[in-house]
Amino acid sequence: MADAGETKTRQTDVLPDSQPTNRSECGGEALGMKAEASVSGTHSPNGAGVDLGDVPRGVADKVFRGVATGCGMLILLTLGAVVLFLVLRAWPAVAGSRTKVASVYESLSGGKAHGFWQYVGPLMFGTVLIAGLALLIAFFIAVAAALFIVFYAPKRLSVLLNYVVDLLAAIPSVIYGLWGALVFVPATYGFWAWLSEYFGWIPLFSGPAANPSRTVATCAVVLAVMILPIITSMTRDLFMQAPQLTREAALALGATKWEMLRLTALPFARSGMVSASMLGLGRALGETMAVMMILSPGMTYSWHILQASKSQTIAANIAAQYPEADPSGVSALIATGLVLFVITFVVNLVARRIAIGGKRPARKPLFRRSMPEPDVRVKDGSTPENTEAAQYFRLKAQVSAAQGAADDRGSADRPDNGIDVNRSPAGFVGAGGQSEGFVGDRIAGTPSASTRPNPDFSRFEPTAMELRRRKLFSAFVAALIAIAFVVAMVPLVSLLFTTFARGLRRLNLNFLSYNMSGVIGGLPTPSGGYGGIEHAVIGTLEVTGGAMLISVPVGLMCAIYLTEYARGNGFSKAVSMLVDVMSGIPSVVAGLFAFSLFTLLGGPGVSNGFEGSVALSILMIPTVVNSSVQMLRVVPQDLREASYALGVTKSRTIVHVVLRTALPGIVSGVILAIARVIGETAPLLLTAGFIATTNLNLFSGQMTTLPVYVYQEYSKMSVTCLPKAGAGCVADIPTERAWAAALALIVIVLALNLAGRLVQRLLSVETSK
Amino acid sequence: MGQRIDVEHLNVYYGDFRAVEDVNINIEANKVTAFIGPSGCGKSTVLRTLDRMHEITPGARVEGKVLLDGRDLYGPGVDPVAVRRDVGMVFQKANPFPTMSIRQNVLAGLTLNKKHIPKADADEVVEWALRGANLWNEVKDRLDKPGIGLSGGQQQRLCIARAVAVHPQVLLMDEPCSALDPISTLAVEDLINELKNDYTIVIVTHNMQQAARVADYTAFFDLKRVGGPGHLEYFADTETMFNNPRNPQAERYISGRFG
Repeated sequence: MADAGETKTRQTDVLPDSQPTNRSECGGEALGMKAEASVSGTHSPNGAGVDLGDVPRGVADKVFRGVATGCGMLILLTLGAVVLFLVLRAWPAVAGSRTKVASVYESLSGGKAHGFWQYVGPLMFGTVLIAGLALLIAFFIAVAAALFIVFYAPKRLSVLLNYVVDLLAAIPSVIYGLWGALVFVPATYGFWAWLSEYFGWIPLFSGPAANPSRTVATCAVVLAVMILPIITSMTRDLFMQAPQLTREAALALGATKWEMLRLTALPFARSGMVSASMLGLGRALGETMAVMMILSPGMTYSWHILQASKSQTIAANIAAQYPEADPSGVSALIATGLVLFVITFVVNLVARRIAIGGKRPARKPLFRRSMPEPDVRVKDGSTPENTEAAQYFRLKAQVSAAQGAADDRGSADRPDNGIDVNRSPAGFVGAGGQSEGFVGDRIAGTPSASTRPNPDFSRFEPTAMELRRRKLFSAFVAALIAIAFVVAMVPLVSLLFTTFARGLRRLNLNFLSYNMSGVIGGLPTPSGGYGGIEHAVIGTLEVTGGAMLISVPVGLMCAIYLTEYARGNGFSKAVSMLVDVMSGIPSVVAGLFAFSLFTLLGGPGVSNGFEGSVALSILMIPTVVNSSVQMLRVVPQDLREASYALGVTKSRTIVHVVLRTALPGIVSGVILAIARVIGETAPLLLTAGFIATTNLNLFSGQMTTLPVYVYQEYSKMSVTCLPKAGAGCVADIPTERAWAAALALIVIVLALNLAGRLVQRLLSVETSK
Repeated sequence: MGQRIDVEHLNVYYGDFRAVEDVNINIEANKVTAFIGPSGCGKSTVLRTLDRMHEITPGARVEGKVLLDGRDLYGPGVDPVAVRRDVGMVFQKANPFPTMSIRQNVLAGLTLNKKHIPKADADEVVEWALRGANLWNEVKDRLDKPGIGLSGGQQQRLCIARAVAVHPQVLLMDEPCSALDPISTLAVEDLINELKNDYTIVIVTHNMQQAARVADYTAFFDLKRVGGPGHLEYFADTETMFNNPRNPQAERYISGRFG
C-alpha cells in the first residue's frame, strides 16, 4: 500500500507541475526562433548557407519530439497509475480477511450483503438494467431525430436544430437530474399507474406503480433523454458525411426518399451508429447525479421497474455512500468503482471494435489499380498483351479495318480549330493479335443477340399500384421520423423551458454577487436577497481553469505525438488505445481516484479545489486528445510536404503550419471539452467539497462549484417557515436557488458553445479549393 | 427505344437567382446530344432538370416545359420518382453503392420495386446490363465482390450498367469521363456510340474533342454576362458546330479563343 502510494505520488507530481506546459510553450518559442535562424541561414548569400546539419535546429526538433512523446507516455503512466492505485486501494475490500470484510458490507448494505460479490451483484444488475433500458428507449428516437435534422427538416430549421442538439448534448447531467426529479417524476405517475394497471401482467410492468415514481423506469427515461442528444449529434455528423454522390445515384435510379436513405445513408452510417450508441450507453452506465437525484435505491435483482426501492447503480451508490464511509468502506466503494470501470471499458472496447471493423472494407479495396496502367492486372497469369486495354485497341484496329475509311464522321475535312476527332492513339493501334471471347463479342458490333440475354423488361415495369405503395411507405416513414423527432424534442424543450422559467425568478444581480454565508432558513439576508452563487461561480472558474491548465498542454502534445510522430509501433498504439480507455473512465471513478490520492497526500478529509481540477483533468485529457487528433488529421498532407520542401524543420512545420491550420478546430474542441467538464458534479462532490463562503485559494480549503451547488440546494428541497417569520420567508427557496444556479450553469455552457463556434468561424482556414 | 425530349421556355432558379434563362431545345430520339460551354453556364443544371434531379437542391425550381415524347415532366401529378425511372443518369464521378456487390449494384434500381426477383430473371438482367456496359467479361467471375473494388473506368461502366438496368428511355450523362484516364474514356465513349441504338443520350462535357467524337448534335451554352443567367447560345448538328458554326460566340469558344 505505502509503496504504491509513493509511486503514485511521484507520478502525479508531474501533473500539478504541468511540466509539459512550460516545456512545450518555451520549447515552441525557442525552436521557432532557432528554426527561423537556421532557415534564413540556408538562404544566406555566402556559400555556408547550405548547412543542413544545423545543430540548434536539430536540438529544437529533438526537444519538441521529446515533449510530444513524453506527453504520450504521461497518458500511459497516468492511466496505469489510476488503475494500479485503485486496484491497490480496493484490494483489501475484495480479498481481505473474511470477517472484517463482511462487517464492511453489512454496514454499507444495511445487513443485506456479507461479501463483495453479494454487494456489487445487485448494483451491477441495476446499473446495466437502467442504462440498457435508457439506450433501448433513446436509440431509435435519436437516429430518427438525426435523420430528420439532416434529410427532412427545411434548411434553416436544420441549422437551428444542429445548434440546439449540440447545446443539449452539453447540458450537465445534474440539470437533467433536477428536471427529472422535480418535473418528470410528478408528471409521469399517471402514465406509470396506467401502464401497471393494464400491462401489469407483463412482469416488467407489474404494479403497484410507486408514487412518487422514483423508479427504474423513470430513471431510465430521464437517462434516455440525457443520452439522446449525444447519440443524435454523433449520428447526425455521420449522416452529413454520407456521400452526396451515392445519394444522387439512388434518386436517379428512381428511389423514393426513404429508399434513398435505406440504400445509402443508413448503410454508410451503420457501424458509426452502433458505436455512437455504445458511447451513449457508456455515458448512461457512468451517470451519477441524475440517478442519485431520481432513484429511490434498493439492492435486489428485480425486473419490476415500476416499483420503488428495487435497484441502485454503482455510480450513484458511490456518490451516496462515500460521505459516511470509513476507510475500509471507501475501499469497498472503490472496488465497486473498478467494476463499473471494467463494464464501461468493455462497452468502449466493443464500440471501438465496431468502429474499426466498419471501416475495413474501404481500407482494403480488392481490385484497386493504379491510374497509369489501369487494367494491367486483370486476372492471375494474364500478361499485358491479354489485358483489357490491349484487347480494346486490338479490337478498335479490327473494327476500323472492317469499316474502312467510310466512317460517317471522317477526319478528312477537319477545320484547323484544334479538334482532333481521330481518337486512337497511334501507339496502341498497332497492337494486333488473336481475338478472344471478349473481342469476339465486340467484333459483332453492338452486343450480339446470341450472347447477350434479352430480358423481358415489361415484367419489371412498376405498376401504378406499386409506385403508389412505395410513395406511401416513404411518406409513412417520413411521418414516423417527424413524430420521433417531436417525441425527442418534448422532454428537451420542457427541460430548457422549465429551467429558464423557474431559474429567472431568482437569477438576478443580487444572486450573482452574494455567497451563502449568513443565509438562515428561508429568511431574506440583510442585502435583500436569499443568498447566491458568487462563491460557486468563482469556484467553478478556478477548478475548471486548473483542469484546463493541466489537460490542454498534455492533451495537445499527446495529440501531436499521435498524429505527427507516431510510427504505428506498439507504443503509439498503446497510447491511442489508452486514450480511448481513459475516455471511458466514469466521472465518479475519476473523483474517487483524486479523493483517495489526496487523502494519501494530505491526510484524511483533505479537500480543496485543486483536487477537483485533477479529477476533472482525468476526464478532460482524453476529450482534448481525441478532438485535437481529429483536427490534426484533417490538415492536408500536402501542406506538411510543402513546408518540408521549403527546408523547414519538422517542429517548426508542426507549430506554424499544421497547428495553425488546425487551430480553429482545436480551440473549439478545447472549449467544448471545457463545456463538458464544467458541469461535472459527482467528482467535485467527492473532491472539492461544499462550503457557504467564498474561497479564492484553489489549493487550500473546500470550494463550492456551480453543479455541486445545484445538487446541494436540490437536496435541501425546502425549509420550514415559522408563522412569526413573516411574509419575507420563502419555504421552497432552496429549490428556487437550485433552478437559478442551473440556469446560470446552462448560460455558461451556452456561452462556451457559442464561443467555440465563433472561434471556429473567425480563425478558420480554407484548405480546400 | 429512346424517346425525344422537347424543352420549351425553360427557366431554372436557385432561390431568387435565375441560373438558366429561356432554354428551348429539341433533343432527338436515339441520338447523342452534347452540351458544351464554359463553366457555370448552366449545362449541368439544364441536364438535371431533364430528370428532375435539380429538385434535391434546396430552393431550386423550374419554369417552362420539358416534354418527354409529348408528356410534360413538370405537369400536375407527375411523380419525380417515376420520371427518374424513365430518364436514367450517370454522374461525373463514378458512384457505385459502396456497401453493395457488383451484382447488387446493377439490380439496385429493379429491387426497389420488386423485393424478390427470381434468380434466373435477375441473372439475365445482370448479364444483359453488364454486357451492355461492356463490363461483363471483366467482372463475370466476381459479381459478388464490392463494386467499389473496381478501377475508376470500370466503376463508371458499372454505373452505366446500373442506370440501363432499369430500362430507361433516356440516359443523361454529366461529364461521365472527366475523372477517367484516356483509356477508360475511350471505352466509355465507345459504349455511348452503342447505347444510342437503345436510348436517347444527353451528355454534358467540357471536352470538345469528346463532343465532336460522340455527339450527333451539340448545344453550346453561354453566359450573357458575368454573374448573369446561363442560356442556350447555339444549337446545331455536331458537324456544323465544329466545322462551320454560324454563331460568333460558339466559334470563339470552339477555336479556343474564349472561355
